[in-house]
Amino acid sequence: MMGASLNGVLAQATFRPEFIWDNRHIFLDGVWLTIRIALVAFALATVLGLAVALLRMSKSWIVKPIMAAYVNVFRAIPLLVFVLFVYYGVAIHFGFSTTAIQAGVLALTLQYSAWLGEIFRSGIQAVADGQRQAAMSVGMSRPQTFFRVVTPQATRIVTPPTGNMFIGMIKDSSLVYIIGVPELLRVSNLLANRTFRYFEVYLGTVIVYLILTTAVYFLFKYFEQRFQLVDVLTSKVRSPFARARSRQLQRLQEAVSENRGADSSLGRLGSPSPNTG
Amino acid sequence: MNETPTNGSDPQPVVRLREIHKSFGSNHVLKGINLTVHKGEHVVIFGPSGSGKSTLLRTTNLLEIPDSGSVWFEGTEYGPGLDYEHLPRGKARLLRQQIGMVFQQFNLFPHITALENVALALRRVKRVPKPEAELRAATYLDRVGLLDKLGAYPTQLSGGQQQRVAIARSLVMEPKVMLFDEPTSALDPELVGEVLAVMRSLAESGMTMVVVTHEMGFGEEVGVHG
Repeated sequence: MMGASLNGVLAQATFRPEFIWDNRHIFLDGVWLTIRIALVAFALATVLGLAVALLRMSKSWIVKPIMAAYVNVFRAIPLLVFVLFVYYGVAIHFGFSTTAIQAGVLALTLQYSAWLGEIFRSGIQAVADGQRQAAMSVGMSRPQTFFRVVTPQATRIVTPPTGNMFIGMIKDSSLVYIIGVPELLRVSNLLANRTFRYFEVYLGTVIVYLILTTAVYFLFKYFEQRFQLVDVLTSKVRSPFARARSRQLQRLQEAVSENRGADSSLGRLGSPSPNTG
Repeated sequence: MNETPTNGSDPQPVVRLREIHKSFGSNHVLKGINLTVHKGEHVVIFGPSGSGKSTLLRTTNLLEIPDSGSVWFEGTEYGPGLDYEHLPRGKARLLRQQIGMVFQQFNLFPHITALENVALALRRVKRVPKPEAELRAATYLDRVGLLDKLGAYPTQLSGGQQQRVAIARSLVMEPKVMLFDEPTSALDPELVGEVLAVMRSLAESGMTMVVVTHEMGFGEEVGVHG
């Protein structure tokens, strides 16, 4: 015993970067669980957050205060405390057959649905009222207006803050280590405690989190770039899809100019015609 | 506000507003408005700010639901109705499909191209298949002189071009009446002309129009005073 810990202390004297690589299977096991927890919790929180956003905008005097309370309560509790509460406080105390992973995902989902709900609500409300009026003035129904006009614009508005939340989710998923879920932080702790190579282990942990969050950053940056609008006909930036669409529009232009004047009731508006002086 | 028929010896009514009342809080804006618009007529509404011109226009297609009163359109009654009558009411959506509206702020959909702006309602409301809807949309964009802007997004267009796309977006639904809510007020002075020119041609083509405007010249030109 004594010898092992003495060895450990002495071993700290030299930095051995290859230690991280040698234990990659441990990091990979941990990060794989981190990714699954973050993805599942974020997907569930997105669905729940949409429901929260829509219910928050309800005019009902009973639904409105309930949803306001939902958002404020879940945003107000520290996540670490909430994870402990959900697992030890509720699941274990009341004898639910919930695993630690399920409890952790539930805690993350509930808190993130409150934050995402507020982001989605502000995005929907940021779409100008004139947009709804214009859609309704051409006879579109409320659902059509919502899905064809409001949602696409709101999506663009909420994409950057949603990306931030996803990065937050990856980082916050580490807090479920406290209930024994063997995700990246938990396996790192175990490895460090076993080998005393604290610097190498936590350096590895930091690097892995950096890689994950950077990947998400670039993913959302790509989404934002996709939303940039360029004239389909004159733009130089060309994907195969954009080229095909551009050709389609050129054919339309040709078809319209050929048929010009075929139907005399469809005269040109705003250009001098025989009627105007 | 008043009106005069401009053509036809026996004009048919198209829209008839009857005893329209509308309040915003304690502000009683419309106090029992009656207005009949005949086929081919051009009604121009003038009046000081806050006198309810826009509200009146917006109740005509029920974007603003009046507190009481009725909108009669081609044989059907829409809106909340009159206390002493109990006629069957039409759906506001069906009314709006037949009445076009052009807004002061254009209100084009910024996330889709000019072509898609014009084709959207054809596809979603009238269920016209995409190729046919886009051909018709392109034809109407050509009518307002914007055939070369099919693929542009609203932010890439000038105010005047945007307003012409908005007019095409309404016209493509083949409305019986066009409502214009201060269509040139948000435009730079040098861009007003192109929009007025389109409206003038539209008036000459016999379109029934109700226009709220500050352009006194336009009102005189199409032959209606208020």
